[in-house]
Parts: sequence; C-alpha cells; structure tokens
Amino acid sequence: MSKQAFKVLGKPVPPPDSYEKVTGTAPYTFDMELPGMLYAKLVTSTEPHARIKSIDYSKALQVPGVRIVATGRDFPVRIGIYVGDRDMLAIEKALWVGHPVAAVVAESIKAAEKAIDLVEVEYDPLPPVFDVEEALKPDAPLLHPDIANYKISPAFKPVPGTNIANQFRMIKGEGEAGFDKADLVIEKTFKMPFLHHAYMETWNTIAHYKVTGDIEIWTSSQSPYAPRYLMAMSLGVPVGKIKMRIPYVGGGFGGKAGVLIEPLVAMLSKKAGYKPVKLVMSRAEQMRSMPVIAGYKAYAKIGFSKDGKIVAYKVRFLFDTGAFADYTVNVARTAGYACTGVYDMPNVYCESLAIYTNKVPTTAIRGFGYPENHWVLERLMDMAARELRMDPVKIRSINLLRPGDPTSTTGYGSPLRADAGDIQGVLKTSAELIEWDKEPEQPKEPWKIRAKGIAMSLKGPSQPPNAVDAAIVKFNEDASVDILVATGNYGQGTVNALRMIVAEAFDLPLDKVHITWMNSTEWMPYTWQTVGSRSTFTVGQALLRAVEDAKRQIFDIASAVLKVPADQLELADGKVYVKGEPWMSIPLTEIVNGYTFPNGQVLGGPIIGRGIHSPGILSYLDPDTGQALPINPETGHSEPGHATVFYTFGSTAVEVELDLLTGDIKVLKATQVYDIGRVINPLTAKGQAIGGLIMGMSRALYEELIFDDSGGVANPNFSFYYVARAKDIPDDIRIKFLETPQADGPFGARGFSENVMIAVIPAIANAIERATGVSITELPMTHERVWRAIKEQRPDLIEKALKAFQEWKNASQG
Amino acid sequence: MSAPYFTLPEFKYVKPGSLEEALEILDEHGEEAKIMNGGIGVVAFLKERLMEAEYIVDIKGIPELKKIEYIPGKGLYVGATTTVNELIEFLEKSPEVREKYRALYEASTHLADAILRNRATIVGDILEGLPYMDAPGPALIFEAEMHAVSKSGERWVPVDGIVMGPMMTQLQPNEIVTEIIFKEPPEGARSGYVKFASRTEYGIVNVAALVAHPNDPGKRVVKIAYTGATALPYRAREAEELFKKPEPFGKLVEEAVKVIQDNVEVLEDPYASADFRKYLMGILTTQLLVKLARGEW
Amino acid sequence: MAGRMITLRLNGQERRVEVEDNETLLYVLRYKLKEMSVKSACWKGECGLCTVLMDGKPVKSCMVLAVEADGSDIVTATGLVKDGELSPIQKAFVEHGALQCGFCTPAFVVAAHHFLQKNPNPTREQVKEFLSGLICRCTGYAQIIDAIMDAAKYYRGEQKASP
Ligand SMILES: Cc1cc2nc3c(=O)[nH]c(=O)nc-3n(C[C@H](O)[C@H](O)[C@H](O)COP(=O)(O)OP(=O)(O)OC[C@H]3O[C@@H](n4cnc5c(N)ncnc54)[C@H](O)[C@@H]3O)c2cc1C
Repeated sequence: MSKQAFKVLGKPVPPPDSYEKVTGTAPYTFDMELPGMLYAKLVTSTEPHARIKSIDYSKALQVPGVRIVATGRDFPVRIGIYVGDRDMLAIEKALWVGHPVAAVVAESIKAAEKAIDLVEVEYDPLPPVFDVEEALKPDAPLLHPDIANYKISPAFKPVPGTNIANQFRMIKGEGEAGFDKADLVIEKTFKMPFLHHAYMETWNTIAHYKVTGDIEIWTSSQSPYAPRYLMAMSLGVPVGKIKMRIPYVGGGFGGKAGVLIEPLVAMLSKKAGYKPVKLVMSRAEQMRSMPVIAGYKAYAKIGFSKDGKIVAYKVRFLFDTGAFADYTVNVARTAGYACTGVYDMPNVYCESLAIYTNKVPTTAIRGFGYPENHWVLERLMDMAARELRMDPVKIRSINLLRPGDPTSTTGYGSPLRADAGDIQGVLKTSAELIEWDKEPEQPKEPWKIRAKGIAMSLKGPSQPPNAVDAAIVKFNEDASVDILVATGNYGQGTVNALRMIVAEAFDLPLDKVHITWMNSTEWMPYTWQTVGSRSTFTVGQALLRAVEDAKRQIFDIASAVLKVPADQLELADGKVYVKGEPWMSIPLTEIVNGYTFPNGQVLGGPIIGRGIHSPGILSYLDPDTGQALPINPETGHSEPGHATVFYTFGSTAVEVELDLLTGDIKVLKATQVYDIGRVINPLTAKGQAIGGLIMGMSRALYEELIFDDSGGVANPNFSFYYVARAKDIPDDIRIKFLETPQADGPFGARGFSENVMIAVIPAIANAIERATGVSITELPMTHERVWRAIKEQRPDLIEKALKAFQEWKNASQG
Repeated sequence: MSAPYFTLPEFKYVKPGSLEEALEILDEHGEEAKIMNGGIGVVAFLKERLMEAEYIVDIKGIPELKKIEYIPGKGLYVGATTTVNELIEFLEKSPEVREKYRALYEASTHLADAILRNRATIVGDILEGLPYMDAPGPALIFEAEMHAVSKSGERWVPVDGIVMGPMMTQLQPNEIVTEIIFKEPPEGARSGYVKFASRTEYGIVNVAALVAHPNDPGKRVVKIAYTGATALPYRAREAEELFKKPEPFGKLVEEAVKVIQDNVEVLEDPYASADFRKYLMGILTTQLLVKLARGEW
Repeated sequence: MAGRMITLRLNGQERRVEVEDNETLLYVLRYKLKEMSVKSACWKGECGLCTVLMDGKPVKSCMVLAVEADGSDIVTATGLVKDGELSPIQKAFVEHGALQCGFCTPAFVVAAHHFLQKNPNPTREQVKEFLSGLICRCTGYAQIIDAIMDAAKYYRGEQKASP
C-alpha cells in the first residue's frame, strides 16, 4: 500500500466531542443524577490484616437520611477478570489498610459521610506481610488460603497454600545454559514502585437494581462488556439483564479496565430498596482503597558475546499485586512473555510471579507489563554498551528482531510477520531526530552535564486468544452513517479514528459519519474490551468488514435497479455509479431504506452492515515452557501461534541535564518515533505521543506510592504523589511516525497509544548512564536516589563537581 | 492528608464588617471560633478533620486588613487579608520595592500556584505552620512582625518563634493579626529565595537569604532562614554572626554552612532523608549567598 | 443547620440559592446550581479542575465556601460561549488537540481565558508557570500551551474572533 490519495485519512481532524468538552457540557458519570438517587460511602479498614470480629453500625443508622449499611456478609462474592480474588466489601478478613469493610447508603453525601464515622469495627489482628520476598517464605501469613476455590481463567496458575497468585515461566533455546557462551555477563536488580494511574475522573458508578431484576449501570469504565460479564457471573444474575452504560469517561490508562465497583453499587441499590445509588471515590479512597499499579522487584542477568550479540537472558519478576491480583496476574505474565523486548535472543529463561501482600490491590495499566520489562531490558542494553564500549544505537541495531525471518523469534518462539514494521527504521529515525552523533552543548556550570539517551520499545495488545469484536454501520434517511461500536471513548481518539476509517471506506464526507457518546451493551455490539492499544486495529477491521457488508447490500439493490452486475458498481460521493459511466447513478438516499420504483413497489429495506474481528492466529502459551502453542494443527499447516495480533515498534530519545550536586534531572529535549502503519489522524496521534512522553517522564522522575508502617498508602493526594505539571515539560518535543502498513490493519494501521510511554523511562536513565557511567536501577529517579547512586558508583564525579563548585565559589572572594 | 471526605464538618460562618465586631465574636467564643482568612489552610484542615470549629470567622470583610504600603526607612506593610497575588502585583508595579524585597517576591511567586494565590495570604501561610511553607523564610530575614489586636490590647509579635506547629501559634485565640511588616532591609542589601521541591508540591529545602556589603566586613550583613528542611521555620542566627568576622566572604560562607549543618535539626521523611536535606542546605545556601554577593542573583 | 439565601451571578444570570455554611462553592455550583462544567478530581486544592472565575479571578471552588460567594460574579467554561459561538480560546483548544478525555478541559479553558485577558503577550514559560496549578493527565500539556500561545492573538486584538 504505497502513497495513496486519501480524502479523510491523514488529516488533523479534532474529535467531534471536543466541542462539548471545551464548553464543559460533555456529561460524565460524575455529572449524572437519577430521580430518587441515593449516595453511598465506604468505611475502610484501619488494620493491614485482621479478622473482622464485629461491625456495629447501629449509631450510623441513627443519622438522619441514612437508609442502609451493608457489610461483606450482605454480598459474599469474589470477582476478577483473571483471578476471581477480589471482594467488594471485606469477607471476614480485612487485607490491607484501606480495604472497604462496610458501605453506608444515605439520602445525601453529607449524611453518608457523617455516618461512616459512626460505624464501629472490631478487628482481631493477624500478622501482615508487606514485602514480596517475605510473602514467598514458607511461614508467611497467607492472604488467600482458599484460592483453590476461586474462579481462575485458563492461562493462569495460582499456587494454593502460598501467596503466589500466578506463576509464569518461559524457556527458550537452552534457557539458562545459554550463559556458557557469554563473554560478558551483567547481573542487576531492578525496582519499580507502586503507582497511581491518576485519571482525573475518579471511579464512580450509578447502579439501579430494578424490581424486575434488570440492573442499569452508568459507570466511568473503559468498556462495557467484560465488566458486565464478570458482574453477572459473580452476582449470579443473567448477563442480559444487566445494561451497562458508559457516558464520557475522564481518563482510564488501564485503571478502568476490568470490573470496578459496579457489582457493589448494584447490590447496594438492591439492598436500599431498588433505588438508584451513586458511589464516587474521593482521591484518597481511590489511592488507598481501590486498585493501583503493581510495583516489582526483578533479578536480571544478561549475557553478550564480544561482538555485542545477546546470547542469553534470564529475568525473574516478583510483582507485588497487593491484596488482590485480579488483573495484575496478566500484567505479570505479559511482562514475562514479552521480556525479550525488541531483541532476538537465542536463549531465555524467564519467571514472573504475581505475589500477594497486605497492601492496596493492583490492576491493569497503560503499557501492561511492557514499561515494566523494558525498564529492565533497555537499561541492561546500555549497561552492556558501556562495558563493551559500543554505541547504544549500534548494540541495539545488531540485536533487533527481524520481521519476516522465521529464525528470528520472540521469547515465546514466534517469528514476526514480514509487515510487522520497520524496526531498524524506527531506531535510525530516532537517532536522527535527537541528532545522536552531535555532542550536546554543555552548560557553563561545570557540575552540570548534558547527555543523550535512547531506548526502544515494542507493544502489542495482551488479550486472550479468543477476544473478538463486532461493529455495525447503519444508515440514516439522509444517507449519513451511524457507527455502532462498544469501543470506549476516554480521550484516546480511537472512536474518531474509527469514524475517519468509515468515512474513507464509504467515500463519505466526515460530517456524514456519526458517532455517539453513550456507549452501552444495549445497542452497541460486542467488543471484548477497550484496552491494549487494540481497538483501532481490531474494531477498525470489524468496521471495514461492516462497510463491505453494507456495500454488498447497496450494490445488490443498485444492480437490480441499474441492471448492471454488482461488480461493475462503485460507491462515491454518496452515490452508486456504474464504473466508467458516472452518469448512470443512484443517490444513496434512494437506497438506504430500500429502493422505491415509480409504481411504489419497494426493493430491499434498511441497509445495515455488520463485521467482526476474530484474531484466529493467537494461541495460549505452553504452561511449562511459555512457548506459543501451535495453531492450525488439524489443517496440517501447523505453525507457532502468536501472543498478540500486532506489535508496534517505537523509540524514545532524550537529552537531559543532570546536576551532579543535587541529583536534579531535567529533560530538555525528547523525541518519539513509532511505526504505526498508517497515521489516521495526525492531530490525535501527536496528542498520544506527547501525552505518553510526559506520563513516562513523570513516572521516571516523580511518581511513587509511599507506604507507611502499616502498609497503608501514605501519600494518597497530588501534593505528595506528584504528577508532572505544565512547568515540568520540555519545550523541544519532536514526534515522527513511520508508516509501514500491516496488511490486515485498517488501511495498514497499528495501535500505539501505550507504547508511547514505555521507552521514555529507560531512555532518561540511559542518558545518565552514558554521561556518568552511573547505573540507576530503581524508580523514580528522585534527587536523593540519583545523588546517592552517583556518590556510591562514581564518588570521583561528585568530588570533581564539588571541587568545581568550590572554585566557582572562591572566584568571588574579593 | 488521607481523609476520604468531600464535605466539611458543621460550623457557623460569620463575616464581621469591622475589626471591633470581629474581636467581639472572638472574645465571646474563645477556642470555639477560628479565624478564616483566604481559607485555603482552614478549608483543607476542616476537610481532613484536623480542625474543628463552632464558628468560622471570615475576616475578609474587615476593610482595614487589606493594604499594601511601603514606608521608606520603616518597611513594607502587608495587610492580613492581602492576597499573595495582590502582593506580587504590587511588587511588579514598584520595581524599587521589589528589589528591596526580592526574597519575598520570589517566595511569593513560588508559593502554591497562580490560582491558589488569588486567595492565599502571606499572613495565613505563615500562621498555618506546616513545615514547608514559603512565606516564613523571607519573613525571618526581613525581621517581620505581625500586628496582633485583641479586645484587651495590641502588640507587635516577631514572626520568628510565632509558629509552634501546624495551625498552632503563640497568638491568643482572641487575637487577630491585622498586618505584617517586613522591615526595611539594611542599606545595600540584596536578597533571594530558593525553593527546592522533590516530587512534592512543597519544597524539601527552602532558603531565604539576604546579603549586604559582602566584601566590607565592617558593614557586612548576612541573614539566612530555612523552611522545608526543619519542622519550624529556622533562622540561622549563629551562622549569620560569623559574617561579622573580618574574613573573606567565600571562606565565611563555608564556615557558615558548616555551623548550620552542625546545629540544625532537620526533618527526615520519605521525600528526603535528614542527610540529604542537610547536604542540600549547604549547596543551596552557598549558591544563593555567593550569587547574591556577586550580584548574579 | 439553617440555610441562608445567597445571590450570585452565574455566567451572567442572577441566581438565588439556599446554601449551608459548611458547603463549598464547588458543592453548590454542581449540586444546587447544576453547573456540571465545574469538575473536581481531588477536592483539596491540588488538581484545579474546579476552577471558576470569581469576580474576574480564577479560584479553586473546592477551597471557597459558598457563603463567601454571596454577591459575586461567577464565570465557568460554559459561560464563555457567546450566542452559540465558542470563544477564541475554546476554538484554539479544539484546533490544537489540546484535550483528550476532556475532564480537566473546562478548568484549563476558563483559567487560560483569564490569563490571556491579563497577559495577551505571554512567553511559553509564563504560560507553563500559570498552568501549574492545574493537572491534566492525558495531554502532557504541550498542545494546551500551543493553543494558549495561539489564542493570544485574539486577546491582543490582532485577529477577530469569528473569521
Ligand atoms: C494544593 C496546595 C498547594 C500548596 N502549596 C503551597 C506551597 O507551595 N507553599 C506554601 O507556602 N503554601 C502552600 N500551600 C498552602 C497555602 O498557601 C496556605 O494554605 C495559604 O497561604 C494560607 O493562607 P490563607 O489566607 O488561606 O490562610 P487561612 O487558611 O485562612 O488561615 C491559616 C491559619 O492562619 C490563621 N489566620 C489567618 N489569618 C489570620 C489573622 N489575620 N489573624 C489570626 N490568625 C489568622 C487561621 O486561623 C488558620 O489557623 C498550598 C496549599 C494547597 C491546598
């Protein structure tokens, strides 16, 4: 697909909902109220691990306006997308400081907030465990002794009798034995802290459990179907009875994937007498009581030959899932199977554990295991480059995967398709954009250093092999099109991109293609989930098939009317033409609800196109070796399956300034390069690339949930959990997209909106490594951490800086 | 800072129109009444349930509390209810005054953010008493005093020592601060302010310093104060004394830093260890003093 | 607790509303006056999403008592729309892709409007400094800053609002 002339694609089109957003008239669940609505508020545990002896809420019920108080006894259900370990209100045991143990429902939020102070909970403390390695010890307190009885999805393997929520292992080639051939071996331990997604709209849900048994939900969730299914399963309600409605959503970043508080609020609604109930998290509750992002410790070892080729890689991730692993088991598993990043490695041994501790639970996050595994691998690449005296670009270049070469495979043994993307081109462009070969201009203070760093990334959607999607296009009387997809619209620009794809495919002007803001299981066809950068690719394909389907119906009618075979017709400008004879045409308006002949007889009826996406090529990984199970075994065309429907390659490069005296790192320049197959909308693509860059920078430099002695989150606010502000961003940001189309992507496109954050984090540390030889392995790179790392690893540098500082100072003596 | 509430506890709001009326209310209700100025601290503490009040007494309706006046030779008078942004605007319009009070100006532009500064006041910021406030440092180096008025009298209270902890001060519950004076800095003085924040909105070390005649031991004056590093605002008086010695400025800076690091009791928290704070105090103080002395700040 | 009536102008309209002493302006704007363009994400002065113009100045309405707003003039992002036309700052946000999820957008828009009225000739540095009391997690701010720098021309009077 070379340069094609597109009418719509490639133009910077603002999403149509921008107009509502800038005027503040776009309705979020946060803004919605229903007649007779009640307000809920949670009571949370003050103990990290304890048996709940009693809950006395008699005083709370006395507060005027309070309707009910509910506890774990009222709905003893467990829920979770992969491991069904999460309760809605503590069942018998409180598992962390912040664990919801009761909920008050009242006529006003004021009454509810008064009442939670009056609920008295008596605890019988149990020994807690806060550290993953402690939690692995044989005598460690167990958080989930009953895990064998939980609902577990096929790809996951908890180890009953331990705190291991999932264990993933992958062995490629000779595994660890591969290190025998290494000339250079580097071993390091890496850490990432617990994080908060910091979507601006906190979790909030309105649920109305009706006397009919129907449940209506309005919720700030990423997608309607998967959570609805989980909710139905856990509550024992027929899935079709639940109507999941999602209006505008104030950010998600993976933190609103899976099921949120919908089942809890539904049950509160029922208990409160079938009244609609709303529950909104305060920021402190969101950060202390609701799932955040798992931290980890990783032991890594990598071996290289003299000429810089990777010969073996071993990594062991210990993910701290907190009290519930829910989604995190898959983050941990994904970090494991994709641990080899963009590189071709002959021998790999990888283990990734998801481990329970008495801390706030965790869930999915933008990047889903890839920022985690790239922080390890992309750092090791630069450490190796330094040891081998090789250029970081060069050492990457000679190890990159080779799309299309069956001998070049991922850690799970699958080759990349030939049209997977121009991985070498990404690296080369990235180096060019940052002017890799040009030394940065050094600041005049001799204790400051400027340096460039680079990192690569790949990302594919981590979805079950059977995740499928559907799409519908239907016509209005004016021959404009409505798109029906259950794709979540929380600012990523996906739904607008889908609209552009449909306009292009139908050759209709954009204003003739409509999308709507209210997503619902009632009228949107099934989509597994809006996660993993997958929707442009998967739902985009479903839509193209829906367009084809509609066109077939349109041509059938037109063919009968114009009396030419359907294959000689084409659709453009809202008309059906006979190819080569444009004067023979019928306006689409005369077809979309069936064609009416002059005598009144009608041919056909309303045109509705449907299409699906079914991955087909994906398979589970072998439970023992982590290698992809073969696909198509029965056809005789057996080949390794894949873990993802596409991979997108990317690279971030930065120029930073390091103050050796204070450990201060400033990002002065940043470049982002991604091969996204096709730029559907440059305006929103750029927005994703910048947004991801700054989120990555923020995680690299500032973000960390801090735990107090009882394992509670000590900084559940934005004063002490600092996220990047406008004043922190670099002025020089350069973005470039390569467009190597992937044959099955819609117009060649691949998704990329998680990838944009992944390489940023190691790129910053790599710049420091390159300039100083100081290896930073722990995040975030706070002033003190950086200063200590330099002091420990390069005391001479600090000495030199202090001496220069001294000289500068003494120069002033008069 | 982890309370889950959206709403505030109950209280009665009163907004007296005159100082007399306000003093009357405070006198009558004692500890039950709490003064609200810009309200940023008061609302935050109420929301966190770290403060209780029967009465919230809004002093923004008292006309004489809003003022900014510079009287040459005496100092800069800032009314209690004058907002930080009003102070910044005043200083931007009067460059000579701004140069005299550079440290105050710089601290003000670093205090919270441009939107909060439309409500936040200098007096409130000092009296809120959290360790990392930006206004107390400059107040200490300009020997600021607050004018406290009650039904039984009035007094000028030095800012140094006025704060005892979060929302705890030496003031009596029935006293209202009407204004604060930042005294006329010594002739030839230059001042400046450094806020060093590390993944928090607030500084982990904030330094305010003033230097006059650095190279003339006879006339030399140096003043240094810290917040963020210490539980309470800290004026480094011993270090300041050193600068009276007839030795080169650069050498004295080194000595002063050592004295400060030896004597000061610093905070230790997840955002910075005590060691790192002490070390930073040294680096930042040296940078600020030397640049001030050289006229490079 | 007995309520009291206050009167304020909200986006040019006089509104009377009964409030209680311990209600914040944020609470009253959203839940009593149904001005849902005013968002909140922290309820304690950090995120700035509840920013409104009060007597011409931006304030974080979660840190203001509703009773304090008696007699005041309040403007929100909704109030910047004139005769169904977006204001120049709103148009600039749309054109520059300065928003994603949109939850912070009304606050950024109304704050930027105030900023440009006061300073129609800003530097990028000044814009960044001014915006730092507001949090946007999606965009990374760059396109917001671009939009504000671009919209400044209207505030300087170089370009008419509606082309
Ligand atoms: C998100 C956020 C970020 C912040 N960042 C910073 C920062 O970076 N740096 C910083 O310094 N501060 C910061 N602050 C704190 C803020 O600046 C202060 O809360 C504010 O300046 C206090 O002033 P106020 O007028 O609002 O005081 P109020 O809240 O009204 O009062 C504070 C205290 O002073 C007492 N008081 C006030 N005026 C008088 C008077 N005239 N007489 C007697 N007693 C009085 C009150 O009773 C109360 O105890 C931040 C606050 C928030 C919410």
